[in-house]
Amino acid sequence: MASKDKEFCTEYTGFEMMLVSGCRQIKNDDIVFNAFHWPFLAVHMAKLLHCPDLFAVLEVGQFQDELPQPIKMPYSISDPVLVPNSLFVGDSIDALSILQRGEITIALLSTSMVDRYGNCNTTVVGPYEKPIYRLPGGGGATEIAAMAKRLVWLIDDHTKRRLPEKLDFITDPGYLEGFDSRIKAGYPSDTGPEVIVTPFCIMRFDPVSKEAYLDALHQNITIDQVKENTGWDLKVAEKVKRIDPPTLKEIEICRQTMKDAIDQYFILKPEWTTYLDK
Amino acid sequence: MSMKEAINKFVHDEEFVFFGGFGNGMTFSAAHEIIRQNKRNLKVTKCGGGIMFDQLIGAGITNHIVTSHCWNGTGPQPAYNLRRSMEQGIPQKIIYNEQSLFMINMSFFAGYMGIPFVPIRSVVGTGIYDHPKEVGLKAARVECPFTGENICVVPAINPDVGIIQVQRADREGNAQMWGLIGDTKYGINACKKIIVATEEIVDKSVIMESPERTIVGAHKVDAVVHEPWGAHPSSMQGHYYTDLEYRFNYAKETKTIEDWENWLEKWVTRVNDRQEYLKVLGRDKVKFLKAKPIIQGAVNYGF
Repeated sequence: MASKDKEFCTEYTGFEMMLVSGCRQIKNDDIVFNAFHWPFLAVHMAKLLHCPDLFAVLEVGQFQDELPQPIKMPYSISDPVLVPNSLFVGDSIDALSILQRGEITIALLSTSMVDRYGNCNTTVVGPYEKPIYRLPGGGGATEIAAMAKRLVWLIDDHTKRRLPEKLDFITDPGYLEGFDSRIKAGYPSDTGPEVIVTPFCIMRFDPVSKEAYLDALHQNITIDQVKENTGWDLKVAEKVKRIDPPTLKEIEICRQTMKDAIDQYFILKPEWTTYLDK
Repeated sequence: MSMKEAINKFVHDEEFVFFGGFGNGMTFSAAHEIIRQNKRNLKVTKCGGGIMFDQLIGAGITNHIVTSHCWNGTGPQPAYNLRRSMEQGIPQKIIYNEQSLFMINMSFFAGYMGIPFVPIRSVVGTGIYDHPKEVGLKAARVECPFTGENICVVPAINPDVGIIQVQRADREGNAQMWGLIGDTKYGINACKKIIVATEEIVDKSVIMESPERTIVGAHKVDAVVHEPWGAHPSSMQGHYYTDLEYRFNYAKETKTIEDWENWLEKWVTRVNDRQEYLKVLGRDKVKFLKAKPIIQGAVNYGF
């Protein structure tokens, strides 16, 4: 019998693939800033898969390197279960200062909209004064995007609306206007978005222009499909890589994590959300 | 002092009010009493507005929020009163003084330290930096006199009055909080007047057993309110867990203006105080949420 680590899964959703692909970006020796919402799941999965020693920092002020036992999905960054399961509990300034000191090697963020330079909008759709949709605001994502060494964006729906050419509002800084504009704004040169992970693909950023381009495709997705659903004229790597599907082990952990998350109202079942706007 | 007396005596129309608690230990009981007393045009601040600010907006209490985000964290789902206000001007258009989490924490920190501003590295180039408008200058760039580096600075926030919910305090107001504090310690110490709501009133000797848990000292505190379950539906470490079901339902129960008005009546305006609120919540739910004790961490203070 082949090992679950080597054998690939054949049936899975784009959302599961996004989580697995996001999770694979994390290394065992990383110091990760563990942010609400989907990143929480990817970091949880990484701990159970290839990153048993992963050190995580949470924005209310916790440092931890072990999951609560028995394994429990915290409902959020402010879940009291995190306190007796942490190495350090301080306040938000402790957590955000570790970012500012440049000690966070990777952070994942899930969000509503990311543009071609990896900037993010969670503030407003439409004109600021007369919004079509008022979104919640960025919280700590602004700092995470500003100061994490490697930033991974998770976008759970690959559409032109979610990946527009230009944003109505920049809440979290990516490469701003591209080229050296991020550095000119005073951000450390070793920080910034590294990848955008969607259910379709992984994008990376051109080292000079800082524009996102298609780097690798998830299974059964075509280059045209990605280009058609991206809000700008997406450039494509010379040789586009093909990403392995989830292994049986990865998908097992992924589904268990999602189930735990549903129990904590962290993921809402579709039948619960019929009243929500799309 | 009761919450009713404390809010009546120390919170006035048009004042700038800080609310403690980041997810854990949120001052819901105080916010509800403020709604019952129909305070007007408050400017309010906390690091994450959450459904508490959504309620203050929906009830027409505040016209200016200073926060880094405002949503229903369970799901997460939208804060519908915030959306109604910003998108349609219902019940009124408010000013959303956009902050980032670090920015607002450091503004509280500057207020806590009694200095006019502090430098941070994170908001230049974003809309948060670029949107001063009617809120005044909320970030700027200055040259560091020591290194010549051009760096962003944010101003001190010193609210007129602050309210926190803590695990325990003595009658004088020495207040202790442990677990997830978030912005509470720096925020509350930046305030001019302070109301401490506490799960338990303890003797001063209990405070002195672990003085490093004290987040604000009695010399600054104006009112101590014994208010068990004052943070529901958020959690209070060692006392009760977050009411996820209630918070989840809040979104669908406040989606339309009619739903919201019903919600407000049921949970706020038709109850007189926190004790009555707990009756609406029900004995079973209270029992379900009550924390199982985890007593740990005794240390040697010998000398």
